[in-house]
Amino acid sequence: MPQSDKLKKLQSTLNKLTGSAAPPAQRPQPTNKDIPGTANEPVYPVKVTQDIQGNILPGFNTSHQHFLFLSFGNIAKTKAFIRFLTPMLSSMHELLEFRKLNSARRARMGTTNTLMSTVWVNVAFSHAAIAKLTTKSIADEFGDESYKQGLAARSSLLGDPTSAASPGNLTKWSVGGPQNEADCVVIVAADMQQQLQDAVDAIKKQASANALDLLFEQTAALLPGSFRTHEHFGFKDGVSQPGVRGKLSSNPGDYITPRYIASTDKRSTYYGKPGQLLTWPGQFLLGEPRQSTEDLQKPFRAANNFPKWAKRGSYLIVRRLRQDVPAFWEFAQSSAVNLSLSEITVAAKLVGRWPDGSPLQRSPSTSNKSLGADPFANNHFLFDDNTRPIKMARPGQYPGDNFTQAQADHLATVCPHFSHIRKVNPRESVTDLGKPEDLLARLILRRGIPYGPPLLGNRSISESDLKKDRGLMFLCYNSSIEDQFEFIQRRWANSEVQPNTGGHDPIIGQKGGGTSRRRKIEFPKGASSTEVSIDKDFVIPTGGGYFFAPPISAVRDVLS
Amino acid sequence: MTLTTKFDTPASVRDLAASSPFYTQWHNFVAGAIKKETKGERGGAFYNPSKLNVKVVAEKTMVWMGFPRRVLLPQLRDDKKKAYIRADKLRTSRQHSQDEYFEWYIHRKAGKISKVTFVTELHDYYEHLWAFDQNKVLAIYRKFVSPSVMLSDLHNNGRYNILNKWNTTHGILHYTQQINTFKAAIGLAEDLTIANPPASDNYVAEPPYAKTKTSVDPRVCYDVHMLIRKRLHVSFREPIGVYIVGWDNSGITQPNGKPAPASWWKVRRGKKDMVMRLEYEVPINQGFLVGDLEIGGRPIKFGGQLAEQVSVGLVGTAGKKV
Repeated sequence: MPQSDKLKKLQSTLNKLTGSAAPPAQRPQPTNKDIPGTANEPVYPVKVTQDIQGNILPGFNTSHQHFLFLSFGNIAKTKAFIRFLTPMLSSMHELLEFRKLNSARRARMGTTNTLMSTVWVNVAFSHAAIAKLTTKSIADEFGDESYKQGLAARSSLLGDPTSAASPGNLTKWSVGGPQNEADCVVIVAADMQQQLQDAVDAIKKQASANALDLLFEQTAALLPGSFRTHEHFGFKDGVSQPGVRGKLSSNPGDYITPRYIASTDKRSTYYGKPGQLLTWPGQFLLGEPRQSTEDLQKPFRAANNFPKWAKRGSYLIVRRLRQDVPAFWEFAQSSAVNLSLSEITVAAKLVGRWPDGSPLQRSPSTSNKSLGADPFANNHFLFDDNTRPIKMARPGQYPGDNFTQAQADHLATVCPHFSHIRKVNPRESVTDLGKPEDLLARLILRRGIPYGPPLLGNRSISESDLKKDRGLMFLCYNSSIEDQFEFIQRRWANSEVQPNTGGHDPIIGQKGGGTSRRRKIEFPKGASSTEVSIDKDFVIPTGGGYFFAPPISAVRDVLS
Repeated sequence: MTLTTKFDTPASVRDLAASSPFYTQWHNFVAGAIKKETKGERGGAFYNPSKLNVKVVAEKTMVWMGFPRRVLLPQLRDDKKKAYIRADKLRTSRQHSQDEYFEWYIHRKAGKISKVTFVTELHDYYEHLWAFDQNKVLAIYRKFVSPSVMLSDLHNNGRYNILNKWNTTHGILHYTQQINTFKAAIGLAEDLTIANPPASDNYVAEPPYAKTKTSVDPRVCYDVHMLIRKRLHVSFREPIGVYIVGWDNSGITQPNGKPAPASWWKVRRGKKDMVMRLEYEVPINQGFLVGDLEIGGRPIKFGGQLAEQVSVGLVGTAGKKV
């Protein structure tokens, strides 16, 4: 069937997107010395990293994942299932060791296809589930109020649609709504699809045999080919993640987050890679020193509002987010006409990066594929002042960051204040919080992965392709749901005026609290700006939950 | 670009006839509070737009949350309830916690919150107005606070009393906190201009008040410092004032679980983007009170919970001297 005009237009736009380039073959080496001023960072020996679930740190980052949302039946049988699952749980130590082996093999073979593969498994539990497995009073030792309430109770606060007729309303959610809240989520991850499926089948079989109800399951996969690191709208995703302070041993330079910057550059004390802000581990692991809200480098006392056995666990937020790809590009196309820009440029302004990952700050007028592909350059920029070049500790054969450095964009004409990346990570800009340091206590570890068949790379999209369900399984870990995940969503993404005035986040922002969901952005136009309305939500919540990923020993000794 | 010939009252509010000499008096007050030009050590300046001609190239709204940050952070980071209790305390002295140029008063019925009134009005304004026309001040109190206000309630031996009961224990009209003054707001920008240490970016800049634990002080001084680093001339946009620039109705629900209408927020003084008095109240015909509502599934027990929904701001201008 021939494409309609609308579809032809969408096809034409998507055909222009070509994904990202491979990262540079030569990388700098992380420092093998201790950075001055980091002596007080905690050390996590093997005994400890073997107990932290690995999707928290360093994160699975596999090609395929599968999510099983389960509800408990008979508790004794549930515990039998948990006992079955426990030896499969993948720890931080295992993932780090695997990566070391994989890197060594890559270097030896001269290829990224090392033939190494395995399956990772993690699990996380709702507050209600913890109460079922232990007691209500033990579950109530968790001090995080949002966790105790659950995602459904916080949905309207997050700006989710409150009208029951709306597709994003929690009564329509696949999982996590008031009638279908999951007790636990099991995350299975692998690079090989068949291996993943075999593991998923085995776990499902045991769950069923132990009377757990499979409320919902979701398969997810990185997009194919050059879109591997992209999300469904077409943009490279996950470029900027916080670094985590701490070491894996007392050996010099053995940091959890490798430090690449020369110690002669003061920025080595707060960046891992250039632009990767370092934050204290207690922002993600309960009971560890947290980030000070008053100082870029200092810790703050660890939290203690949780059961002792939960130490070094982490709160997991899952949000199944459907992405309306046609609506996103229709908006970009129609705005492009009004703004006399290309639709790709409009879309880049909405995101803050070009589709290939190159940041507007460093490439204001056109994309730069090499820049987008270089993890030591594509995140090195400030917003309010000129960015200075940065020196690597051990550059080796790395050709260096020779791209044009970012110029001060204090008037937000290059990367508008509404741009997604500027909204959720204002970097060194001041915000409604006051001092820029406070931002470090808001950061989250993102572990999301796309689901659903891509339109990207499809050269003959049909109407039925458009209707297929696709989006992002958004996952993140943090130690305070209210101060981190919820803060970024409602205080920043959903606000027209915070962290700086300029409009809602056009990608993930939601306008709740009223009858109209119309959002608006102040699009820079020369020396002034023009107000642009966004009538549709491009990202629609369709499920999820607030969970807690306990340390592995607690899964074994307390919950089973 | 022309000089500002007359500084207007905050939000250009007209409590007296437009032709009243009070407005000249107010202009003189504002003009006298800002030095002509406080130069940065390496260029740029904070300036008085009625005395120095500057071609303004941009405006920057400096926004912060109304809830007092230093009540919560860092020490009560894990005990929000305690922070709410502290922030909600009656403003009976000038050292209370609501020190972000945003103050509120909680009205109660039978122990439950029935209304919360938020203000960003300067006491400087009312002191000047009192000196000019006491009965006008009385009229404003009677209109916005209570018809029961008496002139004698508002002064001590003829001198306007910032801490009168209708502005503390029985209601609210304007700021009482000793920090929340016009001079202090100007000082945030002027003081740091004098001390303009070199800095390449905000991570290394240490302007005065950078370490203050409020939101507003670092917010304003970092932003002004950043603009002055660009050798820009910086001032505040006319009409100069601190305003309520937004509020979030998301997550507020009625006892039946339905979303609370946005119309329950009411602007009482000021205008769009320059709100100075905002009230949150359930209409009487609903049969329930603010204290029966929830935010994000949590019962509203504190005015501070609503204060967290409100954004406050001050607009700066930046340009080049003509």
